[in-house]
Amino acid sequence: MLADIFPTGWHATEMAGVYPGDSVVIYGAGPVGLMAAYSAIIKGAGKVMVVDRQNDRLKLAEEIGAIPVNDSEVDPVEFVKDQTLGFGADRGCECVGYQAHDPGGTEHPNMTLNRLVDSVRFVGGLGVVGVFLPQDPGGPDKLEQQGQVAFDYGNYWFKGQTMGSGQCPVKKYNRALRDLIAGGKASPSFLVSHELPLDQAPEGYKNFDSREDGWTKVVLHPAGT
Amino acid sequence: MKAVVYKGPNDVSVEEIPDAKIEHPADVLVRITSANICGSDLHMYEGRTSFEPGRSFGHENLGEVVETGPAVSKVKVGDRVVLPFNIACGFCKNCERGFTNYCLTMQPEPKLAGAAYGFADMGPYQGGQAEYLRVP
Repeated sequence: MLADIFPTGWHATEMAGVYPGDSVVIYGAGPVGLMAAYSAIIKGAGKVMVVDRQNDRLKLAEEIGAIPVNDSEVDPVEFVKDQTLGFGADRGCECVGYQAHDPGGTEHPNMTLNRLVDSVRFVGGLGVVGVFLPQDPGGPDKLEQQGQVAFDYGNYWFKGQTMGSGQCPVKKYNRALRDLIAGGKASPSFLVSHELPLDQAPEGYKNFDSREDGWTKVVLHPAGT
Repeated sequence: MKAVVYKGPNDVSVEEIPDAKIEHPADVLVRITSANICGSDLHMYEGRTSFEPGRSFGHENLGEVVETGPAVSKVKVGDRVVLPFNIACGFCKNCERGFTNYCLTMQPEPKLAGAAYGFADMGPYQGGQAEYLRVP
């Protein structure tokens, strides 16, 4: 957990500027999104909302004290505004990336970014750790193939938001997060669903990639379990 | 040694590849005990990156140090270690400012920055979904 996902989730909340009491919306309840939600809760956020549509992931979000939001059932932007007196969340994290897609499976690389801007309040902070790439030859349209997304910059600028993005500098956080675990204040392994020998990696990839129910995080053990 | 090898879109297999070994005096060699599958591995698994078939995945790695290079003094054989997915030198302009995610010296392509284990466009390093891992 300390090699990537816990520091990366923490980094998303750092870039967003999460402060005690804040309302926070997280797009994506994969391992990094769940770690971002967990980090926000550890930091004392007043309300954490996690948007996804996989019930196993949303259940984990609920178990750690976040509000699950199923975007195949409700409009997540409206939901967040309803939960925040119409203002939008104080902070938002994007933990999905360029392969964001609608419930039908069609990719919209700008979907979570624009929802993020829309559901975070004026002068709010955004942390984007979902992966975006300079080129994506397999992308759904010409713009995305050149690594460009139709971002609602006007709305973002008008709202005076700030955004941090990119990969996490793990060493900035891993010592502190290790000590949170060692001190019994954090247990990020709550999301691990499968521990497999190396030989079963193909099965792990297949099930994790197809979002099979219950496959929330796969740990491989090359040296045996 | 055995490793998870990327064969092409939606296709990985566990195969024998050349053993990881010390290649630089400051390297250590780690016997991997846990290597997670990450969501970012799935972008590569689905063939949506420039990740080259034949390379191995794995950037969430834990294990035990089994060998140290001659320039390594603090880390000892037998240490249990968790490895940041970033590979970083600690002395370049970006590392010195804390941006180990954008290291300039471990990334061999001068126009890019940042390196990682088994990751598209993040240097030539093998991944840790394998029995052993070279840690620069």
